[in-house]
Amino acid sequence: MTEEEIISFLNGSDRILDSKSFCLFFTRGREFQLEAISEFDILKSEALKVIKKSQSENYHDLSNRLRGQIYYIDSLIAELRTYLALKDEKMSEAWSSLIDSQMNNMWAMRSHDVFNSNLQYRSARLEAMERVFFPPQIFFSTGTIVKSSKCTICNSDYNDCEHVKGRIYNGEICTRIIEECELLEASVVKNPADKNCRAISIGDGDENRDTLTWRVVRT
Amino acid sequence: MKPFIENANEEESKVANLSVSGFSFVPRYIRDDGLAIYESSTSTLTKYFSENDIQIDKVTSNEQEAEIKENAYDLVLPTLVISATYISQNPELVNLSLNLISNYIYDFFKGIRGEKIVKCKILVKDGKSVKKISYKGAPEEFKEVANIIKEFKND
Repeated sequence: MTEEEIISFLNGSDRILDSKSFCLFFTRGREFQLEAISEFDILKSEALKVIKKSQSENYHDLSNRLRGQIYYIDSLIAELRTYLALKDEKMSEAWSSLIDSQMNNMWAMRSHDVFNSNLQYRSARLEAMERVFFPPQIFFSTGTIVKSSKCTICNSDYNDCEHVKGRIYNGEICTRIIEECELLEASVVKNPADKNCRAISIGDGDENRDTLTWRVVRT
Repeated sequence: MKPFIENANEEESKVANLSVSGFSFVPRYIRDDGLAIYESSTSTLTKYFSENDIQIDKVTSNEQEAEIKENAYDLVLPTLVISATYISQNPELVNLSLNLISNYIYDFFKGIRGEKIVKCKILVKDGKSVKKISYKGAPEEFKEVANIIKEFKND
């Protein structure tokens, strides 16, 4: 696959994504949103095939852009799932989908400069959705002592290799896989790394209430 | 919050005086079993320095090291030690080092929304005294810390 063919794929996928952007509102009909998810799923499968070819040709910049595109598609799918879950009153699922959408948007921005500049507005929009649709949540965070970790790019000890966590290398983001750790504590935090680590119910007199719906939770 | 400068306490001064080279990292604490616990940003920040051929040491010689990872989006930088003499003699290297730290901070928060907090502590050996610069605030204001460090060369 040539670089031109990959660029052509990216341009084509942008057109498909743009054509479905009208679905990215809560009020849009469920049938349009489900159809968009199906089309985005197909597009993602194609992008996964293209990125493999790009990586094998060592088109580093294009591979990074393709990875960003895959994260962006995931972010759009998760946003659509948020609306569908809200319509179904599946509030916990809606929360998880929105956080998924935010995280994928962040990874898209980290993958390539094109996304870093283009997705700033989307990032703000997803953050606003969190504030508008959901009440403030209580988050938890764990503290751990990491004794050893491996690099996801080269599989070596993270301290011994040259790859940097958070950077992208030929379409793969470097992260650390923790291999040995000790749990220190769990604490309540305002700004967690994982917003899915939250209190799902809260005591209210003799009852426990769901933090999202405020309905009484049976224990 | 503006960077806060004060005299380092006895323990911090003792640790700072162990440092012999340019920039050195200080562990958050050393456990009774000898394990030196560094901030989770230490190994990645070390790589930023290595990429630019800047040697960065650790003030302890503990063979066993680990990093403390707290799953919040606050960036806690490892405590740094530097001498005023080194700042005077190597202004360009100090400038480059501070820029690398700023780059690391920028990369760390890339794509992240919401409140962004950087926490750092820098010990500056100035003759027999050790000054401590503490900072907890927005990433954009970290340059204030860099400016304060650069001023030490004139002392």
